Amino acid sequence: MIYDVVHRTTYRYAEPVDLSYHVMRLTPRALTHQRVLRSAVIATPAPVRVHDTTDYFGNVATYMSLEEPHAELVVDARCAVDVQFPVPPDPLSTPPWEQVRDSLDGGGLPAETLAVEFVRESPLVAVDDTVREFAAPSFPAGRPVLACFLDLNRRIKAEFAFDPRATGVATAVREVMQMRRGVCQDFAHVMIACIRAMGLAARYVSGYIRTHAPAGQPRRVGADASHAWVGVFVPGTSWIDVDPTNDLVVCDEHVVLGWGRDYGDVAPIRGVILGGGTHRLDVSVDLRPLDVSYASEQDG
Amino acid sequence: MEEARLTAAAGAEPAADKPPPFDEMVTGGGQIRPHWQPLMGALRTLPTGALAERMDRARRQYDENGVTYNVFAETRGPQRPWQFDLLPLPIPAEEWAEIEAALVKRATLLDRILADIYGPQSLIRDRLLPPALVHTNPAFLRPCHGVAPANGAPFLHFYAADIARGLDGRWRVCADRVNAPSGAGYALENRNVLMRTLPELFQSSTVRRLGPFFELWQAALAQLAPRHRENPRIVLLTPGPYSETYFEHVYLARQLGLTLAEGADLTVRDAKVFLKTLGGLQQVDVILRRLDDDYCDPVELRPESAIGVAGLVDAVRAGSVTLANALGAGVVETPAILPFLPGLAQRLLGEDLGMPSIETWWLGQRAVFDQVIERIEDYVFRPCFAGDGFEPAVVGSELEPGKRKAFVERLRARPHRYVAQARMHKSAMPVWSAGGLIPRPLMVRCFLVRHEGTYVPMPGGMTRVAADDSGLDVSMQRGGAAKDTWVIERELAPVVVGTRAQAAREPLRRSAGELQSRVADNLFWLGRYAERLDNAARLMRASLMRVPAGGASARELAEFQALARMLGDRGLVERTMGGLPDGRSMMEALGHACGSDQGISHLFQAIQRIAPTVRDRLSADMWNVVNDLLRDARLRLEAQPGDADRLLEGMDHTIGVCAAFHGMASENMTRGSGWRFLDLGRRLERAAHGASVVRDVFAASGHGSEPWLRLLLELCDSSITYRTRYMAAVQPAPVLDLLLCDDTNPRSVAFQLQLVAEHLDRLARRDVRPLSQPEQKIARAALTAVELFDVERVGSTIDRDAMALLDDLLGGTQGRLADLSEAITRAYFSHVETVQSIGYEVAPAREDGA
Repeated sequence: MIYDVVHRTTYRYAEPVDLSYHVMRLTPRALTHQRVLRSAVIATPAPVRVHDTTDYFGNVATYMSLEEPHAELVVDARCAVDVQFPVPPDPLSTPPWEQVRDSLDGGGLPAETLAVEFVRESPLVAVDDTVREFAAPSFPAGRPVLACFLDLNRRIKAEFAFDPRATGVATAVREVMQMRRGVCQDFAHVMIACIRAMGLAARYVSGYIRTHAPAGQPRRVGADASHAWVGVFVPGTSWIDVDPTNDLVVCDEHVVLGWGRDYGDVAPIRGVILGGGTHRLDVSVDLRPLDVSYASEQDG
Repeated sequence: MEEARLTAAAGAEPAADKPPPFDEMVTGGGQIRPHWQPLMGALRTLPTGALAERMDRARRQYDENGVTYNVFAETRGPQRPWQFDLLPLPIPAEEWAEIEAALVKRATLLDRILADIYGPQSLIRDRLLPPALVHTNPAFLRPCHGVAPANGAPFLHFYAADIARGLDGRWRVCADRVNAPSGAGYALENRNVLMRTLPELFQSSTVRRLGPFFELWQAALAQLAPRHRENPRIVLLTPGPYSETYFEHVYLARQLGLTLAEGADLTVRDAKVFLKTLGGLQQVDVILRRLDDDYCDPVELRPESAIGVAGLVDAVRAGSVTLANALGAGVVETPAILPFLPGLAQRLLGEDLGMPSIETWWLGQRAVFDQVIERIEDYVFRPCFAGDGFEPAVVGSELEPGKRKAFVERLRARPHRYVAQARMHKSAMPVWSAGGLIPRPLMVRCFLVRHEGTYVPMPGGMTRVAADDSGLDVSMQRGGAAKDTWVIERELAPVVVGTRAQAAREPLRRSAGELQSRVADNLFWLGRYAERLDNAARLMRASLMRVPAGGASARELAEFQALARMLGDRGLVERTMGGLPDGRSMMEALGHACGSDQGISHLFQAIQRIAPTVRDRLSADMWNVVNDLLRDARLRLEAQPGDADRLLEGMDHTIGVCAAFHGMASENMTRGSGWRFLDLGRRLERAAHGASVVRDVFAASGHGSEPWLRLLLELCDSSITYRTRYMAAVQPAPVLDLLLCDDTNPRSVAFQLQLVAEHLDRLARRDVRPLSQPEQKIARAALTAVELFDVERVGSTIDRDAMALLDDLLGGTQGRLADLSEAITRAYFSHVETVQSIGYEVAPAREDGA
């Protein structure tokens, strides 16, 4: 499926900002199952310096600095991608979760260096007893690891209410656990915390999700904004993306920007401004499926 | 891993109940060791009581030089005097050579490990380093991965190791200091003070000098510059005056010829780092950082850091600046890495370590965890990652049986965050005390700098002794004392001195170059605070002289109460004194104000906080005034706060010290922009004082009868001038003229404003900014308002209209002065703007389940 994405972020400042520095993770990541046909990040006013680097996790990070006073900053990220995630394996064919846990433990001989990074707590994902207790029912002895993950995915969708007013960027997992409500970012963090509490690996994936027309069917939650979900580690298949906000396995309706240990590693835009006073932030995302593939019209 | 474990275990010490420590001075047979004999001999030649007297002398010297160690918890001001002991630790050159060789090897190893962690990570892939040890360590800065220091500079430029000698007489490394090691400046200062207070000792032995190390360091820093190698701009980045080792930052910057800068003094433009100066931005080539690396850049590292430099990581990535040590270096400071160093040394250097580490186990490995818990009473448990450091160490053998289980569970929940270390019985050496010499455990901090591809150690170091012989920790933070460390040469050996490229012939100059914005700011405030102190002392003196005894007239009482209100308004006594204070409550309030951290003491503190940052701009005599004389004056005020006479003397003395300071400023400082900012501060403050006391006194008196006018003349130090001009009668018009409008009276408001305007005109660079600047306009407006004031009309009959006119002028002047200060700050100083993080306004959450 090919999508055309326009993601516009607008900052309006009460007072002029004299200097600003931003790191943006707004370029989709090239993957075997996600072909990036084109992408561009354009800021207005024009930055003095813009350049792309590959961050520690392999995501594209665009660094930019603005050195002239501005009261408004608009960042337009546009891309076209062709996504087709592989069909996940039969959950029952995956190894028991304890076996995966042991292979990830520092005491054994793990082959999974890359996954080890995502087993422990990270700055925004703390594991406490509440998390452990919530996770436990999904991980009965001997259950195949993917079946555990899918059960957890289902339970989060069932037991947590979507409520954009309940949480903010800074809401801790502990609070989300208490309130049982939040947004995609919170559900992703909760799921990651649960998986890591069991000694398994999970990563935070940032991106977009397709929204369906409201006619007849309910609108899919998480629409018209950045979306977030979870990559879970299953030996043999490597990473499988699941979306606890919608209780589904990612297939061809998600676009991946990048991943990290938690939101902090892949915030779409983070930055520092000098001056500015208070600010207002507007974000709009438009993800449009293209009926006709025009990949052939692209020259690179 | 197995191998690493065995090696670390081999370093374990024999268990014993309470074995006597290794004695540095005396052999097991009770003989003084040979390398101590000349030292002890020299000590014996000192007359009785001399050591106590020298100790006092040294203390004075440390005080005079402003040597302090700040401790956050300190209640009385942020600074605490330096704790020291005069007896040095002598180490024979042959033994030192072994220590040196081992530490050079270790520094080389740590540098290579850093290069791997921030590069290919083959050590992790090959299991020589457990992944979790790196991945869960908050000091591993992911944004710095793949960023190699510019121009092949090392990751580790400056390294410090804490070493101690165990029961077996072998030295061990107790801790590696890699992030932003402190102590080298203190070591040098300890040496300097000892050389001045006990020169006799140095005649007894040939002690290797420390000076050449600092010259070498200076040269090494210059070589780090990615460009401008012949004359690079190097700054020392400090967290600021509240840092516990701030003294050392100031001291080292001076010693190494570096510019001292806080984060707000630097700015990144187009991936280059610049220093803010009055003349514009000056590019910085090398940053010797004393700020922990994770605080260095709010854009890519800790978003909540307000003391970093936004964009610094990007500048490093672009290769325009070199940081020493590299950002991220802190990752190998964790004690968790100690058990793996022997294996890493074999892999990276093909050698063993030379000097073992203190026996350490990282609990992040399951097998190790179970073994250690079985022998829990043999170990001390510590958090091993930065940020967890506030969690105290737990001594296994001191755990109450009931708490043991909960403790083990706490470890088990997050085993990777803890290490277990064997208790080390450190060697002891004598410490001088009033009761004679007593033994104390010691630790030596050694320093190494990277120079031309290898590491060069400082011949000596900072020895620290514990406050008592029971403690686990030998540290300055926990009340220990510092000592000089001597490397005793058999005979004089030639010393290696770093060479700097031959400097080109200097052209003649009439200024000290571009003044750093921060320095201008500090000079401005030094001027303001010194003047404010002077004014405060005058106001307090006037109040003290009017404290009513019995039988005070109604007018005297009113005058006294007006003064009390003025003191309260200016924060010099607590406002809560109430509406109608009497003599006793006033004395109490004044006494309390002098003994607390508020009021006048606050002014003393402010001056003492600022002065060290501009020490380079002050002559030695001026420094003496702000440091010693001022400290003295403060002590006098604090000594007997209840005694009115002593307080009066103290006020006189304070006023005298302020006069001396201002006098020296006008006699000894060149008329550069530095002087202008100092004087600008002083003039602004004096103008504000003049306007406010005239306003307050007229408001209190209603019209300005003679005794009130006398008070006013006294507060503005213009009594004599008035008397010589007008002989007897004190009338409103001449007083107002003298205090406000007379531009020949150096105490008048007009006089101050004229100078302010002149300073601002001279500072404004017409070549760059041809039009009048806001601050110049405000100064002119303030001056004009005073000049145009119809003093005869107002002064001849003080009626309601006259009072309104006067109040308008004074209120307006006060407002303009406040605007002026604001405008000057905006135009010249560096940290006016707030820095905000957006998109990630999150303080990292940490949940500690236990």
